[in-house]
Amino acid sequence: MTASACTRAAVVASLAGCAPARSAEPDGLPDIVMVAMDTVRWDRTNLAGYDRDTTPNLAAFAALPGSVVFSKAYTDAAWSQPAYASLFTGQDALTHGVGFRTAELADGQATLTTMLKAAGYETRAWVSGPHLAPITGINRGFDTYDHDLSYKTLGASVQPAVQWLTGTSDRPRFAFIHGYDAHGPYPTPALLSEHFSDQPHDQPQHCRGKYWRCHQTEVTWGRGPPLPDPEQHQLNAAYDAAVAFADHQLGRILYSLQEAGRLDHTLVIVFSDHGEMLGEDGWLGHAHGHSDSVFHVPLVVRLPTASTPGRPAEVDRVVSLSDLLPTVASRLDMSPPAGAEGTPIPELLDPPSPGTPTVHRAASQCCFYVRDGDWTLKGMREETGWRWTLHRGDDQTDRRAEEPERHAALLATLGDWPQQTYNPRAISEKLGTQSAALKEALKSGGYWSGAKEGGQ
Amino acid sequence: MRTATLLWMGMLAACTGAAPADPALPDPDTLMFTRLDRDGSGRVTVDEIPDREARAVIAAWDADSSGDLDPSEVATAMSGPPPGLPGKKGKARGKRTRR
Repeated sequence: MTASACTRAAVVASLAGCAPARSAEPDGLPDIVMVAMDTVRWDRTNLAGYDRDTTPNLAAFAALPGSVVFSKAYTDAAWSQPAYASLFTGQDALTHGVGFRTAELADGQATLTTMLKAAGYETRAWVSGPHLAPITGINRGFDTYDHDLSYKTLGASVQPAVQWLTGTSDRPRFAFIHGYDAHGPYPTPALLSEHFSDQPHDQPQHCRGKYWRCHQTEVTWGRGPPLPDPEQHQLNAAYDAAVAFADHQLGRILYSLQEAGRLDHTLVIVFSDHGEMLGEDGWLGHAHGHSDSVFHVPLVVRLPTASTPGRPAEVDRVVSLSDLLPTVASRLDMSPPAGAEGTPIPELLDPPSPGTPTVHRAASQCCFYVRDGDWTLKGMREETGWRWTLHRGDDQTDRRAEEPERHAALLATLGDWPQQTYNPRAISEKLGTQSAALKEALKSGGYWSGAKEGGQ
Repeated sequence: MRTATLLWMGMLAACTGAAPADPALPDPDTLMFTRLDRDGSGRVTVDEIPDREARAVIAAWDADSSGDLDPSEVATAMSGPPPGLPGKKGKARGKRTRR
């Protein structure tokens, strides 16, 4: 059998395994809408009690009867390419290896989308940027994959997505709507960009035309000295405004579904793929780092069967983005794609049940992050090997000496990850060699790792 | 956390005049206008936009040339687009070490 024939056979076999026995939803297969607010960190949302009104629409959605807020949701990886690969495959970041060892999903790897498509869904995505380019394989299974290499905001997709979702169809629909609103350099309409600032920029930083603003920084991502106070203030204000703008677009999507009478018949998942470091301990950006700011993300799910008794309004158990695929599969009585490692979230099943504690493991380009309840094990690759620290809650005191068994147990959850060989920089460069446009998109987003070109 | 959400929704309801117990989603355009209309006058004025070019920004969306923005004009301004790249990336400072 030729390689391509093997690939086809694998695809057919994996798709066949995804065929649904029946729908668990009383009204048949529901529409599914996933909204990705790229780069929004948990603690800058009002769900986390943040005192700036960054996310009133997300808070309103979270307060609807039937919405479930996950206050300890974590991404599997600290930048988009591997994070979305985990979301769509249900696999840990170093299992699929996208962004770490390879630039694309493995041949024949089934995804959330191929699973839904095999079950009869119409599938459509509105996405952008190099890390969601078709070459990554994330487009697999989408009937229509609306993508270009610019870093679009959610606002660019609201109208076409809502038009499609509120139109007539004899098939259930799956929509993946993604926006880079909160991604650096935080493009925001000038009406809103300085809303959270009491020290407006002396010179408005134009981008995307005269009436938009960005926060241009003179430093690249990674770790360095603390930012001067004025720069830190402006960074915080710019990021918060960008989050607020993303939230506004989220509100437009959800409100339109509500007004069209579709919201209560739709499985809605709102999340972010990773957070953003805003100067904490000298760290900026994402892709690197090992802190909550980059791994802890918002996640709110609302089921079409919203009134199920006993479903909690919030869950403070640790869950992973890679749990979402198995959860959707379980709810719809489908078999998740082969290799999925996530587990169905029991609070979202019928009947709902309290889940058992789980340990989450995640990776960035430099570091590992293991989360077990309030405990966090962090590992950073250094020239001499891995440097580990163990923390409880927000206290950054290293507690390995007083908790050696816990340290060993959390370290063991990583398996062979610390021994694996991978090179995200080389993968980024490989992605960038596919086309000049792709390389330019990686550079403009801060992802190009060319040694003499800055970036990471 | 849930308490924080509910408190937030209560504040939101107070600002927008919506009933706190209303389970429906609020109109996001109303929320945004309320956010920007700091003095509650029903118009977003130059003084309410802390941007050095606020007058030009207002003028760009001031469809009826009234000198300020009404709710529909703000909704238009906040509906997107925009396409394009995220902007020029800064260069690393020479002496800053970032990994």
